[in-house]
Amino acid sequence: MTTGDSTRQTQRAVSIVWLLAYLLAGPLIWSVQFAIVYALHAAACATASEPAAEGWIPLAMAVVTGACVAAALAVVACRGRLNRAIFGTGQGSRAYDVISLLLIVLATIAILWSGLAMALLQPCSLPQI
Amino acid sequence: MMVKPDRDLPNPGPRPAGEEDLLKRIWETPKGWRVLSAVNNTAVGTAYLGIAFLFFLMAGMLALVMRGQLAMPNSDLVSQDLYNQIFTVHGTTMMFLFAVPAIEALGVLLLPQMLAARDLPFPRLSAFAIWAYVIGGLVFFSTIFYDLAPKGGWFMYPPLTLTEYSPGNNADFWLLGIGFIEISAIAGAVEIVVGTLKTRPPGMTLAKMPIFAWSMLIFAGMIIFAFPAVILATMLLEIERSFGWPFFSADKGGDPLLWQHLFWFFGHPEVYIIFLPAAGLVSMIVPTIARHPLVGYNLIVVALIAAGFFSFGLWVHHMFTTGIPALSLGFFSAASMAVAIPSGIQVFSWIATIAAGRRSFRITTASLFVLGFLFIFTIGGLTGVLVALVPLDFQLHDSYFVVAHFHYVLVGGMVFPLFATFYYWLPMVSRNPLSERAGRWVFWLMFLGFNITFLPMHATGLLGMPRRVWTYPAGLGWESLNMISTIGAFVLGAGVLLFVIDLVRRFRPGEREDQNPWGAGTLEWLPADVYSTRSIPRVASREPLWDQPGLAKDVEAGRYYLPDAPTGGRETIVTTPVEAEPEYIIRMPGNGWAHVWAAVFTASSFLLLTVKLVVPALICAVLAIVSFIVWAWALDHGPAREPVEIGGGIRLATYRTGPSSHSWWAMIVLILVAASLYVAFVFSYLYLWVVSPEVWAPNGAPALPSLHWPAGAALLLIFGTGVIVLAKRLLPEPGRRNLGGACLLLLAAICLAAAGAVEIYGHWSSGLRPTLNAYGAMVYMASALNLQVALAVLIMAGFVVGRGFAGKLDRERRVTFDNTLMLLLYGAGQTLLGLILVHGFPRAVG
Repeated sequence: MTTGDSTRQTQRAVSIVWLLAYLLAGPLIWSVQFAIVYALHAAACATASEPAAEGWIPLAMAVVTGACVAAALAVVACRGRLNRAIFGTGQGSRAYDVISLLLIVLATIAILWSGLAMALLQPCSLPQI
Repeated sequence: MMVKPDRDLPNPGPRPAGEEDLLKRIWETPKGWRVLSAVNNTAVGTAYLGIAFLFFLMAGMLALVMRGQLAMPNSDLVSQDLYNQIFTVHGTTMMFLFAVPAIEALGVLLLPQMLAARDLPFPRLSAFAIWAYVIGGLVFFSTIFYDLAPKGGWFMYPPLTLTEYSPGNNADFWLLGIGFIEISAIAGAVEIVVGTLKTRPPGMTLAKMPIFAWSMLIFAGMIIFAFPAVILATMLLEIERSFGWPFFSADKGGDPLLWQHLFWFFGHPEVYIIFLPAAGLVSMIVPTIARHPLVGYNLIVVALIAAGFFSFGLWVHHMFTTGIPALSLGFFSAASMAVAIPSGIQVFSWIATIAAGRRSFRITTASLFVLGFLFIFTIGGLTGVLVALVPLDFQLHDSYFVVAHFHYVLVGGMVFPLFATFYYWLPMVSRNPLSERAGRWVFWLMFLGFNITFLPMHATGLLGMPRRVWTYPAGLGWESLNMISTIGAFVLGAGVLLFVIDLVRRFRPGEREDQNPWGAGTLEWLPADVYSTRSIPRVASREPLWDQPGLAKDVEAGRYYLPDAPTGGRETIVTTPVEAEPEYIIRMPGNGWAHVWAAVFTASSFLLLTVKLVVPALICAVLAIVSFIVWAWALDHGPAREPVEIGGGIRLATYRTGPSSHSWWAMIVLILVAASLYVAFVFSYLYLWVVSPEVWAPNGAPALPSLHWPAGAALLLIFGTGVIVLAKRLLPEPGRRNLGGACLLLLAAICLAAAGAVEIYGHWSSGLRPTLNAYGAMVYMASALNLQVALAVLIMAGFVVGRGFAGKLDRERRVTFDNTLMLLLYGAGQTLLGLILVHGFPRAVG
């Protein structure tokens, strides 16, 4: 709606919801990994017996972490298509692409960095002081 | 980047005589005592900032009293009990009454100017927020003078704050006072989200938005998701203190650690809620003083968003010593270190900008404060990485090392940028700038005073001095360090005092002749008056005043959009949220009293509840609701007959409903707040079950009520939702009166409330009581939260019926109807989720 009567639609408006989803894809994936891993680990250690929990918790966490990294890579791979779906042909803004990509990179680093703790520590033991 | 000047201006011809006078009349700020009714962002924002700064000064004085007490061992300058009150009020005031309100005030003051909007979209909401904050804040602070101040620290951990260990009303003043101020913060967040996304000037896409606007958008988003957790926490603790529902009492299945989870889920993002906008301010000042566009604009946006998100994953690093499994500690430790990356990106971007403009870099007081910020905040960030290391945190926890760390982060990250802001932006609202000569003294006194105070505290903490101690014995090696810290605190105080003297001498509200004294590139430096800019420009770059020659002159001559007042009242252009193309004209309310009374009565109601005067509190609550209704009655003015011309052949409607309406956006934000609060509740329910499954039904409590009860409640919800579909169809054509739609909406609201009542009755008849144990408390809390939404919907639906009676509701004029409907649908969804949780979960796990 650039000129003329406001009721006349002259170009497709970019959806803020889809743009935000595109920009925030990386941090949202990180949030999912964070929420699942934290909730799963806390609930399992509180309710299951320790030997049983120690068997499957690291595996489940590794699966969640792997899935989240895969999701982040999938967003990167589909960036062109996502951009066209949001902005239409030739209307994409490079700035949004750069922001989205860098956020995915940062989020992936955070996912792997946090995930590293699972490979190194026993899931339910208390810290040794 | 120089943008080709756009000579095809929307309104190229000369403007009619008297047009500017009309704008001045419409936007005039009332004089004398009537100034209290003002809603203009400049008046409200300046007052808001002034009050926030007053709280900073008062809390700073408390800090000096504390330093006086700690200067020497075995001191008894103040009593132990008063000392406890002083550190609690100092921390609470700095965090809740100074830092967040100061940032919101800057948003109210600067955002419309940076976006060249006439005002933010809900000016009375901003004014309501400030009045609520002023009344609640002053009453809270004054408790220190009559021995009623809370004593539990700014985080008020139970069990210390439960009635058994904190009798009297002191803790209640914190809980109700702060809960009330949080409402004020959320009102501000609604305003900032909608203002940033919907009132940008044409052409200012999200990718061209000033960094401060980005940071405020993220700030408001963080308030929406972080504050509800602490609102829920304060509700739970106040209910336990007042009615004995045992959420935090371990002997009945509650857990004090639940408070810590909820509090820090808010409390850690709170640090970034304070820091990110301050960083946004720095990102605006640095390009001007370096005379170079910000290096890495996109990187800064990335850093702001990433820090905003990551800050929600750090809360447990405040709880490393509470007995959490090692893996969780590792997980949160890693996240705590990861957040240093986005912070580092911003620091390097500012340094790169300064380096790129080093030949023209100006040393002013504002730039000194920016450089001081970089130094202090970087040290605070580095010690933050240290305390993110679990083994080190075990040693340093609750020691003066932590006190030093968070003051380096908060004072460096927020107070120094704020003082840079005062020196940089004061010419925008004052005829005189602050003295640069005095400013140099202010800076060096503050910078040296701060470092003399807090640098030794790292050592004091390493030597083992714990936080919050009233005094200490001689011979522990702490004496000299404490004396140095005290001397530094008074040097810091002298710097602030000099600033206050200069401010009093030189601040005179009004416009300067030289309206862009720093030669800045952003729109807040356009020539402006009470109506903001004479016309609203089309923006083609991130620094339009640098890249669009003649812009200021053309804007002042009224050659851009909306140089007049086509509807005869206050208005601004609403644009699309991404590309910022004109959508419609928003007609905004002017000065008034209803919002002031709403704030006064809401504050009175909360404060009377605090001192257990229930009947007067209820009367005030009713009067507050009446004030809200009076306030809201005039807002939905309906569509004008014809679209209005804003220039360039663009004709815009003056009314919108549905997803392009600004009020629809505000309701969505409010629903997000309610949803965040309910998610925090679901977390709390599941957390207490994890901690104490033995008190859950059917083993530790009466058996769950028969499934007929939740089924009945669900049927009521489904019936109510079905009724809404019919209600929409029954709205009359414009000019006709038909109450069918409004009455059906009211019926749907009654169904929502009835579903809540059925749910409560079902549990009551099963013998379950909220005081029995944590399970009973959580079950009734679920209903309390649902009924809270239902009550709001009932009041709104009654309002809609009133609009129908008055002939102010039809198929076009329906914003109030739509907003009520949205909240109703949300309420039905929340109640349904509650039924599944409360009735399904125990059956599934039992």
